[in-house]
Amino acid sequence: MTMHQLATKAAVCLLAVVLAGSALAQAPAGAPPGVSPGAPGGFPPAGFPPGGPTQGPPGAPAGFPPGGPPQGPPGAPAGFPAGGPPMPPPLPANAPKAPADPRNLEGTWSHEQMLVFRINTDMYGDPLPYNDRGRHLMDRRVKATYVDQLPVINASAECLPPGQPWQMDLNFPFQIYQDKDVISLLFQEYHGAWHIHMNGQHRKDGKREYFGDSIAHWDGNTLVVDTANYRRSLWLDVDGTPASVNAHLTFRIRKVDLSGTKLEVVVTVDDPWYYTKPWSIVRLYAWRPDMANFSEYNCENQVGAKGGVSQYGLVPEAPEETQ
Amino acid sequence: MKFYKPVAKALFLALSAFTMTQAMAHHSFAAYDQTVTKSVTGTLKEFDWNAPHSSMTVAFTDANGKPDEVSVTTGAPATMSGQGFKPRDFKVGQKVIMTWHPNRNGVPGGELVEFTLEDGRVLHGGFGPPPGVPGSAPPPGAAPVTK
Amino acid sequence: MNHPIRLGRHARLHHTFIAIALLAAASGASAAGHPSLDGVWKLERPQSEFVPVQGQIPFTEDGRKDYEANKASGAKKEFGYDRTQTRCSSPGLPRIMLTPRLFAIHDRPQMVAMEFEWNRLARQIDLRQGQDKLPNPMQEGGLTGGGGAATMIGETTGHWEDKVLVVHTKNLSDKKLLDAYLPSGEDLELTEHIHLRDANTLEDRITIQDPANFTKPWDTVLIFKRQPGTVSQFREDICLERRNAGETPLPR
Repeated sequence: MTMHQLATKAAVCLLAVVLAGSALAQAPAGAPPGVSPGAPGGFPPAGFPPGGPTQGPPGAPAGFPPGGPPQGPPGAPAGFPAGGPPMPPPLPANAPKAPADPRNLEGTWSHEQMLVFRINTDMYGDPLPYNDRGRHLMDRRVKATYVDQLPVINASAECLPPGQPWQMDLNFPFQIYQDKDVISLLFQEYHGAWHIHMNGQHRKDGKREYFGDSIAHWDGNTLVVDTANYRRSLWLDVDGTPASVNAHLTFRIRKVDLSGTKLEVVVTVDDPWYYTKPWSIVRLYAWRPDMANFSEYNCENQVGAKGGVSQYGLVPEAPEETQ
Repeated sequence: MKFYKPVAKALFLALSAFTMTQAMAHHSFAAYDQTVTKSVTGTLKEFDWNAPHSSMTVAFTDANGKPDEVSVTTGAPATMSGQGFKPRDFKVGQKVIMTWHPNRNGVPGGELVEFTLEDGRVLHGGFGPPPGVPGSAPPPGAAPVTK
Repeated sequence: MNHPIRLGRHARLHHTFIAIALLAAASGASAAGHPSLDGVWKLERPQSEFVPVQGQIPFTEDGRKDYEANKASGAKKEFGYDRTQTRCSSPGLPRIMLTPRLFAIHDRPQMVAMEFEWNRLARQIDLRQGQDKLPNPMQEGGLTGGGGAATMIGETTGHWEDKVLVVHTKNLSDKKLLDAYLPSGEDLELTEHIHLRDANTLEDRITIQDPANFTKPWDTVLIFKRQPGTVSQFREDICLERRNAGETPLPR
């Protein structure tokens, strides 16, 4: 089998896993999608079962109320979209093609798969390996949002960089520019900028940034990025799957050919503070030269105004345990 | 809305759960009490088209006859333009009626439900499903309205 | 996940190609008859206000009134007229070009992108013409469709005329300033002529056209000097944190 065939086969398997994973994220086996027993319309969930939040029904990922994680955003009825616009139409046939060079990642990319509100399972379908501390924090966040309906402030709400997984999960475009010693990823949302330093070393000056400190090297045609030294612990997804400030996130980025050029990113979270072992998810980003011109994102205009983030009805989160 | 192929439209209907508004991407709107709707009639002081959030400030007279104002948020400009509105429609100084779901944290304001311009046109807030869709916000009058 | 790879000739050629392209960009060679603007740049001398190329700024009565009111408020350190200073709202165009920090240019055939160290902002100059100008599904009835709503950064298109990048920006918000004090109206349009005076000097000649505030278009010129290195030297700047720590977002 040629490299190309191997890569295609692997990508197809991964895609199947990702799509299956998305479906799993919505409801455990056996439960109708998005409906929590005992909750009319399924929303919000009726609460945690006796014995506490970590004991979901058999088959449900740990930490969820009966029926599994609610589908869709809180405040929206089960299974109903947020009222947003549809999935983008496919790229027109006359759109420019991605560069053939597998190490040329330049261009505009966008996440076109369903946003996963809560990661729940890794790319192989296994539940995330929370330790007690991680499970407790996740339960607390899920309860705040879905049961207490007093969701907490996080970096995203504060108009701060939310970290790579949240940033890249959003269904909005980003652009890659490559220079000799650094790769820039510029995101429409949060006017985010992620700089990946080629063949460098992690900084030793103790300074930390919201996007962490990323160093990378090529492993064949896969860019392997190691990010550490986060300034703030991360919400890896909208529901608050955690990663601590000392997490190492590894991003394996490569172009794959799957109904058009895609950027495949496998993210490995290595965070002994919240998990018993490293775990990985995979995401695919579509080549979208038609989304090259970004819309303005000026959250500071609102968050910087009087009232700040409290105008969104959010409450501060109790601090996480420090390491 | 332009669809490139009929299949794209079918995809839209089938897979509309795929997407979310910009506002949703940033923080949960469980933060707004969707069982309560507040309303004021007053004068538009400011309407700020902005992404990810727009805001509108209405000056009004409270129950004791004292001047007050309230600011409420909604989605990005697509919320307004998607319903056929232009920035010039929101001329400062016009008489408006604004309804919103209040913040659960007690801070005045919240998420816009409806904004009625002086000419009678109504803008629907852009955080949730469009009105009339099953499970969308209750129609005016169905939920308690506090003034 | 990764298979050990013995690079075939095909892959080696690809790697050689990208290495040459990057080297060419770094050395200033051009792909299409104009020198590359790639690199990191900084204002030759710090400035927070535009200076007209000739004579005085041709204010209208309203324009002068607003300008003087802003100056008077600024002198009293009341910055309510300046959302950038109070909220870290984007300075937009043309004010972002007065950035006291570094910015990098990514010069590509279909787009020239500039990324600014200041609050991680960026601007894009869309060079696509004709059928290359694909409709953006995000913006046409999509999630971020603005329906023509003006923004701080506006909409910018451009094209090369020999060695000069000619740039046009419209649809700018009036909820910002042109610079530290000059008012910015909703009918503002900007034309820029950007070119390399020499390998290490970038000139941006900006023509400001705003009939509400100025009786006629007027020009100002910004000079930037090339800085060594790449964006790898950029530090993550969070304007809101600086503001909350008591700094002013932009130097006064």
